[in-house]
Amino acid sequence: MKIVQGFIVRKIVDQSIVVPVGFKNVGFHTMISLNNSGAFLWQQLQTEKTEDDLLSAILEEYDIDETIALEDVRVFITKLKKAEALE
Amino acid sequence: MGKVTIADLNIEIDLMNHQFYYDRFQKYGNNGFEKNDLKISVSSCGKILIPEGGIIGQVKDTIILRLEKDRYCRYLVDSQSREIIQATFYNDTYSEVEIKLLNRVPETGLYLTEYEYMYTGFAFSDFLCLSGGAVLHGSLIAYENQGIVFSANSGIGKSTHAGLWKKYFGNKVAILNDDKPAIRFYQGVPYVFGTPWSGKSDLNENKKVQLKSIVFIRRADTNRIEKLSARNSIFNLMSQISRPFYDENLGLKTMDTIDRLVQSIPIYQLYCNVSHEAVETAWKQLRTEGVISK
Repeated sequence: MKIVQGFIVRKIVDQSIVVPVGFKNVGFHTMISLNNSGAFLWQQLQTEKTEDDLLSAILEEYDIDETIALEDVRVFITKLKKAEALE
Repeated sequence: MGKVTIADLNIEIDLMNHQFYYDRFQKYGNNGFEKNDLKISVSSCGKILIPEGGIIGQVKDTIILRLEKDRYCRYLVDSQSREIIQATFYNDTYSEVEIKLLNRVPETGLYLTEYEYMYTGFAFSDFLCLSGGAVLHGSLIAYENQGIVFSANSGIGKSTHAGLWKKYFGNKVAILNDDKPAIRFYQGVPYVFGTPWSGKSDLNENKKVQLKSIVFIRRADTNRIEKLSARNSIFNLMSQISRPFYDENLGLKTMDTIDRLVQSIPIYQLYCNVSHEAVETAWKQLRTEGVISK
């Protein structure tokens, strides 16, 4: 999976926000803001990744329990799928 | 062809409906400029032919084409008859816009002048957006020459609330625009202008005031107001400032403007009913926080 074209992350004030631009903008009524680990995962998903890839990457980047990390990755993926931001 | 200056932009505009021009644009008339920033023309015909060009994208019944030499066309097809209802031709800087409308309006519930209103509004908004400004959906008042925009989805009551300020403060308040005021920055300070695109009412004035605050309105039984976090300010602004889907660059420019607005002025959410107390709730907060003087 990876991020579909048409979404960008903009830093506005202190918030990293996923913004649909262009055609993705039509009918998009939710707003996704990213915390640090969310922004990190978003960056990872610029290229094709599996759930395992994301888990490994986040474990390498952050000092975090594997069970919690896996839960975070899954919640994040669900959020992006719901927003149709993943392909 | 009329020459007008709207939000400090010199515009040559050629409308079909002269009464519409007289009612809405006359007060922006300015024959004092030679070079225009933007040129908009509107015409109607019995059949709009599909222009030749490469399709860039399609969203529902709107198709965007790239024509020759930095020219584009965006056209709308009627979902029933498949006829082209309108086509907008424009250059890459949105400074030359030609709008063609089908003179037999299908049963969309809109009159030709309403299409004229809508598409000239888009043309203005696109150009303003590229110039670093934005059109915000809301009612703009000048309270003692200080600009406040009440914004909300249609039907929530922003015009009603703006009207209440006029009712209670009388001559201290002027309603400068009742639907689509224009925002521009000058040396980092946001200003807001009345525009002819004032919705169903003719309430608009050719005036510019410093923008002091944007207040998003929600209906409620009891009145209260809260300052919005950056996140919620952005979310609300993204809902009420149109971000054109047909051009990613314009979409990005709009985000720049939203960024600047959130950093420049306080933004509030007002939960209100239709009452004097609703006005008082907002006014007190803006006064207490030093957003407005007097």
